[in-house]
Amino acid sequence: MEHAEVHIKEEKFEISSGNKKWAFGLMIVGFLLAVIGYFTYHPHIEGLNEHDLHHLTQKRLWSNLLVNGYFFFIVSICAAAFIAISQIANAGWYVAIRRIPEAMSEYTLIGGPILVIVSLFALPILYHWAHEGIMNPESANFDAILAGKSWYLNVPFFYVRMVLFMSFWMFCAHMFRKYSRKEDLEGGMTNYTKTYALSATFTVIFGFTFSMFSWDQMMSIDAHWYSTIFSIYNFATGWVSALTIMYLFTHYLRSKGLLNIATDEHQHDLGKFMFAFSVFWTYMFTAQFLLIWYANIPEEVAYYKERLFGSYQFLFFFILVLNFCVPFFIFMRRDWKRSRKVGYIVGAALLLGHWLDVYLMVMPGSMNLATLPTAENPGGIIKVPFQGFGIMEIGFLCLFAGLFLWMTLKALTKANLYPTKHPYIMESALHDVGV
Amino acid sequence: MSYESPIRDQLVTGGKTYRDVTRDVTRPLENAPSKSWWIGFSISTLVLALWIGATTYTVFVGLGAWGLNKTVGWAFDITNFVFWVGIGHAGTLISAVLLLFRQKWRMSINRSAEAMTIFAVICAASFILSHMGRPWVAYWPIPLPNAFGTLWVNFNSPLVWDVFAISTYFSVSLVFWYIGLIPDIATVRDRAVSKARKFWYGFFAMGWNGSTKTWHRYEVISLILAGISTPLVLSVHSIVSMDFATSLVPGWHTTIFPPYFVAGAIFSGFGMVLTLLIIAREVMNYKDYITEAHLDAMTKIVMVTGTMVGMAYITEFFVAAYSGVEYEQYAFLNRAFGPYWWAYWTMMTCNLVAPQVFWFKWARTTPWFIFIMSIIVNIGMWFERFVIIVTSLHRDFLPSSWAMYTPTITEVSILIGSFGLFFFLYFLFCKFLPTINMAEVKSIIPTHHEDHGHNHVKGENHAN
Amino acid sequence: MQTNKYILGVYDNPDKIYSTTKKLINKGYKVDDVYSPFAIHGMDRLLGIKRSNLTVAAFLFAMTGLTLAVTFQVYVSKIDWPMIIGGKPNLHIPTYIPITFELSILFTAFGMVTCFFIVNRMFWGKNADIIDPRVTDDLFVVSIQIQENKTDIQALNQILVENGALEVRERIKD
Repeated sequence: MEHAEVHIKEEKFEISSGNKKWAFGLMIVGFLLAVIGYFTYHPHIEGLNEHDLHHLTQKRLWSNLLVNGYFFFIVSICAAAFIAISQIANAGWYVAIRRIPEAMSEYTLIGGPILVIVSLFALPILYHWAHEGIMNPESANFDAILAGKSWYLNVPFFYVRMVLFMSFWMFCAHMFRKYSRKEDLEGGMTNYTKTYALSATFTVIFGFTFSMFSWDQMMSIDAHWYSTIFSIYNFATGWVSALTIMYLFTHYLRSKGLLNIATDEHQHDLGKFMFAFSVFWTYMFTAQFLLIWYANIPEEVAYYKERLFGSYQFLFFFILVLNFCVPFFIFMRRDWKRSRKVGYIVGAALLLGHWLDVYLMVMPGSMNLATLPTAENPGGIIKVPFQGFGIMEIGFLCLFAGLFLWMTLKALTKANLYPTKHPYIMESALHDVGV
Repeated sequence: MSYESPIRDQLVTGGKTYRDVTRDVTRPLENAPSKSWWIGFSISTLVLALWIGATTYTVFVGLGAWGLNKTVGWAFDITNFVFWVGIGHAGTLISAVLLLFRQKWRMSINRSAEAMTIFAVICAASFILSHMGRPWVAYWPIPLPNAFGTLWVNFNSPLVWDVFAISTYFSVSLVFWYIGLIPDIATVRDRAVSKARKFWYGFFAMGWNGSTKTWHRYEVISLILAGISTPLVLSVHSIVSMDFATSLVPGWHTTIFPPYFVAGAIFSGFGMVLTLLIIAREVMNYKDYITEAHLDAMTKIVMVTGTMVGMAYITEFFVAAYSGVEYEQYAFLNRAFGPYWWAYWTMMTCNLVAPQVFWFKWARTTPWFIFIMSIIVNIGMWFERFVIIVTSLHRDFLPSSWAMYTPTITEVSILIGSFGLFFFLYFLFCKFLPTINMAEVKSIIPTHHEDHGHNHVKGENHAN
Repeated sequence: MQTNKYILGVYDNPDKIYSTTKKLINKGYKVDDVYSPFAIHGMDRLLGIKRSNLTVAAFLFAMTGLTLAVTFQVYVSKIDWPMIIGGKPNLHIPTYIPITFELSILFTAFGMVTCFFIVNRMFWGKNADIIDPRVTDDLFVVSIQIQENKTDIQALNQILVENGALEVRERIKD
């Protein structure tokens, strides 16, 4: 019934030397590890010649770049989606932490071009449908099923879609930031109304385009395979990861005595979101897995055969533990959603879990070698078992994490730590989750 | 009262006081039913009689009374079942999901939406019973040790999952609804004059006296019930969708079915809520409780879920083409351009295209227009189930067994009659229970009436 | 010495009763309970009501439902009457998910609601201990327990009236 006094003041974030050390340290160490990993990787697989093995090294390199490029990009674009969805839902509570997703979305400025470049190189190396001769009936590599998809899966169309979608999203994310920063100076409702209209447009278009984006980037790696729920599943992955990063940043900033307008109540609500959407992710996972497992149609189960019964089995179950069991059983408790220590542990587990999830979408499909179809191997694909989780993986993960961290921290310095003139700022400041 | 930004819409208009709320909501309970109530109730009773007649006829004659054949073994019965279960989703969604999201506009609509849920699930269950052909052995899907040895039910079967899902959903919704009703029943009890009213409402009020200790536990339990009802709502329609999706039938077996069915259920549920509430706010004069802001919010949800469902249609179509499986491709081409093309395009128009008018503010706030739209949504969602079931079945793998399906008069009567059952129960509900959650609505009325709630800012804003 | 005598202050506004209750508690009066037509935000914390343990009960009930469902399905499909259906293994774990989930929810809901009724001592047909018939309509009542030789009834009445009480009266609970 009565409220503590809240002071809305302009608060700035400054990058400390510790921040710099971490961000650049991660990038440098990551880069070095990746380089070492690349040069020390000498696969020994029976029946493969030197040329194939060299090709495998290339595949691992570009797979890693694709995993990280994709993961960090969808996380930052889901942060923009978080802003848009909260805006059209008239949410008030999140305003105190709004600058964090805004800052996260600024990574797209560099992550977008990186992903485009990675795709440019990765396409002929990783994607079976883009290999030479697959679509050509004259060729020995000809695959009639994939050729039937050439109306959609062809290189020029792939790029047109990718560039078009990504530039639209990045434009919207940019406008969200711009309106929000302008609001701090001007006040009033103009920028709010504009954001509202743009958010509605963005959300609808994002829904459709993100679907295609995930089919292009991820589903077409296993070119024969298809699943209608795949895009929603991918969205769940990006969305939970984005929420987790917001949650971690809020904890971090508060631990440094900043962003005091955000309280345990905000932490609690973000924690609830992480909990709820982890369950949502599990729901998507189950829907896809259960239906494919149950129907047992050969062209569909191929995807799970490698993951569930092949060399990736451990990761498959490990992801379920990280993405479902950890948040579900730990974040069920009210005080653990509010605790910084527990929050850091759960957050780290979730991020690792979702990163591994993307890893598992890419690797079993991309680490294959195309050969001429033979009687024993009519698909013309040699499956390469899990090559281990080596320093190349760790290196690239660190490199991208450092880059993401740096872009986000830098973006945080560009404006007040929370929007001071947002119409819902007081609601957010006095936010209380109730019972 | 937590702080609210002044730019938010007032959820209760007309400067209502607590006492006004009590009076307005209990009026239909305490007075003789109005003329419009009698007219509505009589019509629904007549339609209910049609349902009883047609269902009884089916039970006596057997399923031969229906237009099913060897190829199309599921048609109107399961279409209606899924349709009604779908309708039954908005109630719990409004009270549970919107409670978790702290959407206060749910407060004046959740009671009737939950009632609608319960009645819709009853209608849905009636179709399951009648489509069994021998309803007297309806207990067979329940895993009971039985007289035939301990032959258990098949836990691999989605139909058994359905039995568990629907009965859990029905009973949990009923409990949730009842818990929400207790404080309001106590209000009616305390206002009662006649002895019978005092006794019956007192009986069900369970000695509620508004103590803060009870309120605290009440809030906690509402929150947990909401927390478990939310995944329950999602699971129920997911499991219904698995009746189809676990099969090998092209057009049925697709992984997007669970979330797509859930989105469709919310869509149709909100359609039905709008139909009912627009009538209620006119007939019972609840315009100050179910305001234009409420209609605006609900129509936005209709638009969003409609677009989601539309996206699922397009995804299915796209992936069928992309998959390279000719049976999948044929199933979808047959849907859109085969003999049942009219059903497919009705579905597309009503569910994907029509709700797009809600981009316009006028469309979102004009009751008569929303009323028409809500009926269109319901028609579209009925056709969606019809399209999924009949068009996927009628041309299967063997062209020699291709067939067409036409409903008989009995089936149509049962469908129409089920609306009679639904409205019959709904009218009784309006007469005997408060249709608006008084306790919750009172909690969002601004506390200072003199300044109409526009100036109850308590925090200090030190922005420059 | 506590007595079974209570002073009731009747209000018509949740803000007023909240601030009054706060004053009374600060002055050391023993506020027994506050009765209201709806849950007043923050009142439970003000009265020092411990957060209900219903959530723990909920978790335990969920686990019970889960265990029962899994045990039963495994017993039926693996031990008691194994049958191969659709080429699935007898221990068809993924298809246990739906029923296990539903039963966990069912047990949680019913178990918890039963607990709720028990802790509140609510049951069908209970005679309500009605403080004021309008407390379920539009009035808010604060009830203060009188302590022998300690509570200054005069001063208490004055506080209640000064803070806008419509009515102050005495109540004896047996």
